[in-house]
This record gives sequence, C-alpha cells and structure tokens, in this order.
Amino acid sequence: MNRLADGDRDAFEPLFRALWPRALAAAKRRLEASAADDAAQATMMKLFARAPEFDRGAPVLPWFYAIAANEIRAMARKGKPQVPVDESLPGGDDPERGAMDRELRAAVAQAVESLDAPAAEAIAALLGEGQRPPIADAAFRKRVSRAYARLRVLLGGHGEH
Amino acid sequence: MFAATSARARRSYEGAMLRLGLVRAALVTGAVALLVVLDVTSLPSPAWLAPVFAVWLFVGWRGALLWRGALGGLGAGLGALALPMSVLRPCCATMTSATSCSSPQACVAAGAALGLVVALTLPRLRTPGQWARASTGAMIAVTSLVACRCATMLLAESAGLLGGLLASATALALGRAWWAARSAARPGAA
Repeated sequence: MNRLADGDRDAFEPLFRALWPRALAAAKRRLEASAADDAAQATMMKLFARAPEFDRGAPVLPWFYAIAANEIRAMARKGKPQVPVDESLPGGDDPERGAMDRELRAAVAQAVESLDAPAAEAIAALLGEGQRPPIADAAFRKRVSRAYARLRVLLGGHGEH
Repeated sequence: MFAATSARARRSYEGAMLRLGLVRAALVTGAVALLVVLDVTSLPSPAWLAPVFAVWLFVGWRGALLWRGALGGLGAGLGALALPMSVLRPCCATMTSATSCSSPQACVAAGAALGLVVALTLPRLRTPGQWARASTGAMIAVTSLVACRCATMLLAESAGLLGGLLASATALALGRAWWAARSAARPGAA
C-alpha cells in the first residue's frame, strides 16, 4: 500500500488480488449477494481512490475494513434494514434519546455481525448472549481483545458520514 | 466481476493520482509565478507557465521515483530561478551587446554546478532502472524550471547552462548508480 500511495503502479495488481476477496467476504456477511457485490465494488473503488492519502507505514487492514464497513453500511441503508431494530430499548420519555439509543444498538449489532465467527462468539459470550467457547482463559482474553480492536475500527468509521 | 472491478478501481486510482498531480503542479507553477511577481526572475510571457504546469502535472501524476527525483530538481530549479544573474554569470557585466559574450564557458560551469547539486539530491537506489527513473524525473523537473530562466537569456548561454547541467547531472548520477551497484555486489554487502 505504501508503494501504491507513492505512485508505484506495479503494486496495484497484487494489492487488488489480496483485498478483493476480503471485501467480498465482509460484504456477504451482511448483505444479500447482489448488494454484496455492489458494496465490495464500491469498497475497492473508494479504497483505491483514497490510496494517495494513505498514511505511510500505517497498518492497511484496519483502514481497509473501516472503508468496507462504511460502504456496507451505506449499501444496507439503501435497501431494507439488515438488522432488526429493538423497539423496547430504554429511551425513557425522550424520543431523541430513544432514537439515539436504537441507532447505537443497531450500529453495534451490525459491527458484531461483520466480525469473523470466533470474534463474534467471544463478544456474545462477554455480553451474556451466548456460550463461552471452550478455550483457556488467556486465549479467551486474547480473542476478546482482538474482537474489541476490530469493533473499535468498525465503529470508529460510523461517525464519518 | 473481478476484471471489471479491477478496471474501475484502477480508474479511481488514476483519477486520484491525477488530482494529486494537479495540486503538485499548481504549487510549483504558483511558486514560479510568485518569483515572477516579486521580480526575482522574469518570463517573456505568462504563457511560459503552461509548459511548467504540464511538466509538473506529469511528474506529479506518475509519482514514485519520477516524483522523488523531481523533488531534487525542484530545489535546484527554483534556486536557479531565484539566483540573480550577477551570480549565475558575473561575466555578463562587461557585455555591451547580444554578440559580445566573451566567456560562454561561465554558463557551462554554472550549469555543471547546478547539475551536480541535482545529482546529489537523488535518493540511494538499487537497480539501474530505478536510477534511470529518478534521474529522468530530476532532469525533467530541473530543465522545466531552468528553461524559464533561459527564456530571457541568449541562445549560447541557454545551451551552455542546460548542456552543462544535463551533462554533469547525468555523469554524477551514472557514477552514483555504478558505485551503488558495486557496493551491493561486494561480498558481505547487506
């Protein structure tokens, strides 16, 4: 990515080959096939359009997944809602607060859905919504830590639009 | 799907690089225009800025080693534009007409000195191809700027300045490339 950001065209093909399947897989986890194709395509176009702005030396995948998450969210908003919204969430009598709570919950649910299976399982176990995987404490903590890092990236991109 | 997306992504990338090239070209052309406005240097016509913009748009858009080389050329080129003629060619003080130049070799020497500066600014590279790309960027860049300076000079002076510059820069760049290749081939070199 550093080479491409500097203008080295030879780096385009290998980078595209490495990231395209990831974009497609991330989109297919959240969207139906045709919408997933569109979202993956939009992700790749956005990524390469922003390549010259890439922060040299920074890790590529978090940046890539942040762009992918934005594109997938945008595509999901265009179609029908992908994640059912829980109407019984706390909001009190303040409708604005309630709407914000629902939006936040929906964003978290979407982000958790886009995690890989072990990470999603770890988060679900942590929230008491699923069984803890049968692994050692240290391994579980590490898995949770990684899942948090991914969530941070995915939710960090949420406020960009 | 893969090929179509790849082509569209490639177009997006080239578009972004072109926008970057436009910004870079605007900055360099703006710097030259500023030197003209401040009366540090002069151009026969503002139209001279158009080829400067075109050259810098090209190197800015292509990026990579062409751009890295061009940065050294930019420093030397702006230096040549900003230096007063009394420094660049002190012998001209005694000139009485366009044909009375007594020492054109002074312009060759000034160009050669400038060329050495350009060649020294090139980054350390590994392969002859990389050296060639970076040197080309530096030569294109410095020539585009020194040509503005030459626009108000006599033909022999311009040829001397540009010839000296290109000859010395090429010679030193070739020397550095040869030395880098020799060092890399030496046993025990990393």
